Amino acid sequence: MSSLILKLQFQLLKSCNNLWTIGQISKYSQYSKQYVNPVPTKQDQQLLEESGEIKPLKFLPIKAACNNENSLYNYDPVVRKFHNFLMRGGNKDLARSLLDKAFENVKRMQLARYHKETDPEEKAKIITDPLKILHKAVENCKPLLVLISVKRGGAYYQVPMPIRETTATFYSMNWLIEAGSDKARTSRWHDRMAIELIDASENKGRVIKRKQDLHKQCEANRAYAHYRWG
Amino acid sequence: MPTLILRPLKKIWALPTQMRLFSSEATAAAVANNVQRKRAVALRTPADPLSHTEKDIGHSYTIPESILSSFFSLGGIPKTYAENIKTFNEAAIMIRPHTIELLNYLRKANYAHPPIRYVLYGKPGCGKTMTITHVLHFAHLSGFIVAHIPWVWNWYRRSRIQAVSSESKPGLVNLPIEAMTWLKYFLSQNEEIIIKSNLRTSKEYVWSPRETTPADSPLIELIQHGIGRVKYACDVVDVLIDELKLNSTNNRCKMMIVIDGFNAFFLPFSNLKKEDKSRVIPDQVTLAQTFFKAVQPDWCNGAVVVTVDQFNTRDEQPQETPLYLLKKRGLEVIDPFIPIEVPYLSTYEFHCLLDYYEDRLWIQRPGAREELEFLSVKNPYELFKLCAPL
Amino acid sequence: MLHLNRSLDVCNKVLYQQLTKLRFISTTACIFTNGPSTGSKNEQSFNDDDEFRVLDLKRIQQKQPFQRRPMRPKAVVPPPRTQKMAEDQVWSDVWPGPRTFHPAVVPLPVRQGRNRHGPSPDKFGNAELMKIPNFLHLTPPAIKKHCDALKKFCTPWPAGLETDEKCEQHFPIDVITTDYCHSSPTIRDPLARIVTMRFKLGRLPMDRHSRDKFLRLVRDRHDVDTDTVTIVTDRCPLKTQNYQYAHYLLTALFHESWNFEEWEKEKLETDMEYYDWDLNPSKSKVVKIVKAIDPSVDEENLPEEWKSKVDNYREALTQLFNKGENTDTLQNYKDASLKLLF
Repeated sequence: MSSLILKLQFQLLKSCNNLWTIGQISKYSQYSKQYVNPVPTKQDQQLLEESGEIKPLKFLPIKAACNNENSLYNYDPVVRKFHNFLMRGGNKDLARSLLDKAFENVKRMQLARYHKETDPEEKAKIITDPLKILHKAVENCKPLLVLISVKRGGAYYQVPMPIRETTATFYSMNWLIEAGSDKARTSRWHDRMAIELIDASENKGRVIKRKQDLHKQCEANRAYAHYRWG
Repeated sequence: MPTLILRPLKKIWALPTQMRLFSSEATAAAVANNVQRKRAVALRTPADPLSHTEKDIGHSYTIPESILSSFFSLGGIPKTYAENIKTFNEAAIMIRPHTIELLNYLRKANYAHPPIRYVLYGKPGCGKTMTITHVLHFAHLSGFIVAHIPWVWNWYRRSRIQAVSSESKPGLVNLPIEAMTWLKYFLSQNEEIIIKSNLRTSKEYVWSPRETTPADSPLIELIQHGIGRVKYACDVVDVLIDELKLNSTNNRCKMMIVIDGFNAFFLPFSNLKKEDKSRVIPDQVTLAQTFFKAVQPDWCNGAVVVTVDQFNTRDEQPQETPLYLLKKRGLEVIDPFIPIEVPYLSTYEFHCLLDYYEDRLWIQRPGAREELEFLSVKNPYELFKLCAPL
Repeated sequence: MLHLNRSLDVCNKVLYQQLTKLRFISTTACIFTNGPSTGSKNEQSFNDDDEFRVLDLKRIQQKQPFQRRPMRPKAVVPPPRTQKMAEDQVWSDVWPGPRTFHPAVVPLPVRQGRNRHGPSPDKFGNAELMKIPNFLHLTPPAIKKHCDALKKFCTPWPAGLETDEKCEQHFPIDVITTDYCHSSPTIRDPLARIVTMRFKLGRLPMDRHSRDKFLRLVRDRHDVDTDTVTIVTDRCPLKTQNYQYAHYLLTALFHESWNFEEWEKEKLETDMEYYDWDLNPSKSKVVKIVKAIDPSVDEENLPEEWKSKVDNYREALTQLFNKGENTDTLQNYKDASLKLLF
């Protein structure tokens, strides 16, 4: 059904002059099919070069790189994705500054712990890099299954379904962002977010609990698992 | 040779696992590579500010814990820097050439002559206030009594505070609470040295029919009176500065007047209001008049260090130079002075500072120095902010 | 009934014959105009009573084959004159005065304009070349010829005015007027009355006060960079009157600036258009400092050592105010203060 609507919209769009004013078809590209996506970071380029996958790509036309996809010192694909999920109303500048401040707080908190710790073994275990903490937190918060509402025999059932990695990432980041927003009016998002990120990276805290609760619910609803098919 | 290399959109899932967009292992590997690079070690100077010379430029020195908890306990270090003391686990200051220049002048000056006035100027974020902190430490160690105003505009900033008409000086207004707070701060920095030098008042001061400070009573008592009787705090500050000037001239002590944001005294506006809701101009405040008196060259055994700051203007595109900020009136109060520019970091200092940040783990992933240099224009505060999320 | 029918039939026949006759006449008239050959053919069919004649309403049979109208002979365009031009011709004879560009007259391969698909268009039929002004009549030989022709009307350059400096010395005032060729019923152009007078202010004998007053009177008519005063007079209807008025203004300004009025004593330090150290509190402060450093000095007559230092400082501070703050003036000021205070 949705594909039909898409087709219809496409027909409409064909007659429309300014395609870019219509946001519904975001997949619509001004590039033809033979264009390939750019690989902005040097590390990724190096990996491609080492694996030899670069050869067929060398002679293909390239799309222009997005302005938030670059080889700058602070570029990271996960952070980029996080910015996009965090952004509200197109205000990416704010999203970036908020996450930067959260990073700063993470670093300050972890460094305080680091300097306080006297046992060298424990000290070595403390991660002070906010980027690593974000990666870990996002990884830890990814759910394996989610509940999808399915109509069978006139009733709706919450059916546990496995999800793809992209969806899991979306759930993970969105839960983290929601946890950051769930705060007292007097405190700041980036302060709360720093705590949530550190907690999640250590496999504890509110977001991890939310994931575990979801897993439990999935376990409870395993009887409906066969509703996935048919 | 970095060339722009591409991958097809649909092939993302077919690429090796470390290449996946969300798997983060690619970046993790890159991060690991960076971390393997040897972390820089900061250059350090064990000496205290009394013996800092040109050789120490670019090095960092640490303010000892004892001085932090005593001399700097109620202020004297900028707020953003105070946060960093916990993060860096030490209170370190980088030694910069203009500071050495100023310290050399302070060492070289003939203290039998009137105090020499030094005016620090520079673009925002270049480190004027940090230089003041460095100089304060120097002054403390050299046995100066320090009269420091951390930020002049703080007296004029808050519109809720009501200025009270002065009884002793008609036409002027008092800021009793501010004066009391300043006296407390002054006492916290100088109590020890005032007691040690046994400074006493030169004459009797009559505050009211029942309250007097007799001649030859300790200055500490005078200050305590100001803190206890807030109503007279402004007058006490005025008298205190006079007494200190007299004592310095008589060679019983040395005094350094340090004022941050001096040009705020010469603004044509402030947020303060009088009892009749009319606005107060900064130099109508008795405290301002007191410190105008303090910076005059009519005493000996002292020095005056002030900064001028373009935050204290409302111009669209302000300059950072002294005459522009002080205007003719301000310049007449302070001239002849020695202007000292606080510049951007030199390339050497820039790398020293980043070495320090790497050393103290403020930069978690070393590298990208050229990019940081370009983005920060070697402005130290901008650099600090850029490194914050790294 | 039958009779009636027959009579009707006869009537019809007669009518028909008459009609065809009429028709025939008209057709022949038409045919005759077309030509005699076709007429004989029709005559034949007319005489032939057996054949039933056909009414040729559409005139298919008479249609003539299409004939193209003969083309008008093309005008004979002679080849451009440039081809026949001799190499040693006198160009000023070919192009004696200002004129719109003509491709056949100018023997140059000039091109002008833009063509996206090839080289830019050449000179033939090129409107762009005709639009722009050209100076083909002002070639160096042509100018030389002009000058040679005008030479007999010229007098020798006056002796003693060889250089610009000498000219300026002997004629300190420049008077600029403009004459116009006016192409309307009246030959008087209103702009011709305007007189501009220019002179260097430094050439007038003035002291500090009169110069200051003169500058205040002329305001922005004085250019600081070149020290030139420019007076423009245009309020009188005639050029001569304006010229005399300009001279009057100069005289009046000069004498007025030398006058010292009683109220001028009220001029304050803030009214100064430049920073005067001697009138400012800065001077007394510096003297006080000098006195404090060295109590033996006399405040009125500073010793040589101190005098140079103080003068140096005065110079630096005055520059800081008058020239504005820049790296140089600030560094000067710093050096001067260091010398004074250390």
